[in-house]
Amino acid sequence: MIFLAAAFLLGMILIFSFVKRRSSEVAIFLPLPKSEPSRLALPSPTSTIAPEILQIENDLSLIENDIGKLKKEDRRLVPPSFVFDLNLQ
Amino acid sequence: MKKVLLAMMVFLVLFVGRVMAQEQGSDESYQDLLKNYRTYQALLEVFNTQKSQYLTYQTVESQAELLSSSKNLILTQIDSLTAYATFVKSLLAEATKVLNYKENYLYVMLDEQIAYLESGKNKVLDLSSFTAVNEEASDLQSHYQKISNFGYQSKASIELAGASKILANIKIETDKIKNLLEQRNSDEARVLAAKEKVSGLEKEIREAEDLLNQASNNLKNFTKDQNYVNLSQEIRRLIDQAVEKFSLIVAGEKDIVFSLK
Repeated sequence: MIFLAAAFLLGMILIFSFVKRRSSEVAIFLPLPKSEPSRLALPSPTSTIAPEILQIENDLSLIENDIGKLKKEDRRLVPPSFVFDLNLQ
Repeated sequence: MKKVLLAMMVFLVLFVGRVMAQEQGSDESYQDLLKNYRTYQALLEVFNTQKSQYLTYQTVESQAELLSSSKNLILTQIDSLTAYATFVKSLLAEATKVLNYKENYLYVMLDEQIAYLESGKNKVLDLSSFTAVNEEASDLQSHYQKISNFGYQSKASIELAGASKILANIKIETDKIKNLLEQRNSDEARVLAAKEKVSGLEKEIREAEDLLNQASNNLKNFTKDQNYVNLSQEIRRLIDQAVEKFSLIVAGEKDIVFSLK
């Protein structure tokens, strides 16, 4: 028990001394190197393609989606079959 | 006081449940149809087993069991048919935008059939002889044919409305492309080639329109023609041909637009 208490105290003293030493150290801040401008050309905010063309392209893509949906036949609407002729005698 | 509160809670639960059931989407309705149809298939097996037992032994007990089994079978047929009619209604409701309220007639007709099926359930419970069961099954068959007709008619209407909507949109885009080409320098070789391509695509548009007109005329025959399965298949064949043309037209128009960039 006494040994455990002594070990705890010793540990606490070591932590305190470490923290104290760190806080008294002089911090050195190195200036960051200047960032160079990117060599890649950035896109212009105004598109070179006419907006009407972009609109038509977009509309055609939407039509293509609708065509894709229509191509898949919805067979769920085909009614299920039943036996009505029970032929009970 | 407690009883009043309890009654109010029960009413609320039932009301909310009913409202939610009414707002069931087509996917949920289809799951409901599958569930009912599986039950029917299971009961059909039971019916066949009991029928063969009755034919072998001809006992009073086997006759009673067969009568009970046949009544259960008809009840599940009614449930499956109701689920099918409800599923068709839910699909029609979802397609209202493209159908532009043309589905109202089918909706009313399906509601009539559902009401008949609901009333028919009590009748089935009272059946007491094989003759009565046979008659009830035969009566149900005539309603099945009506419901099937409405189902196929709904299928064709939804498909045709979808195709007509695509055709209308293609026409709008074609006009836009033609306007765009008019604004460009008409001496430019690419513009000339594009104009020629557009006139070729317009021919395809007219052919697709003809196919849809044929499909539309076939749709009108649903009320007269008894062979609605063939009629539905014919409409689908015409729509498939139109869809092929749509793909061709859209690909051509995309190519034109790309060349104008």
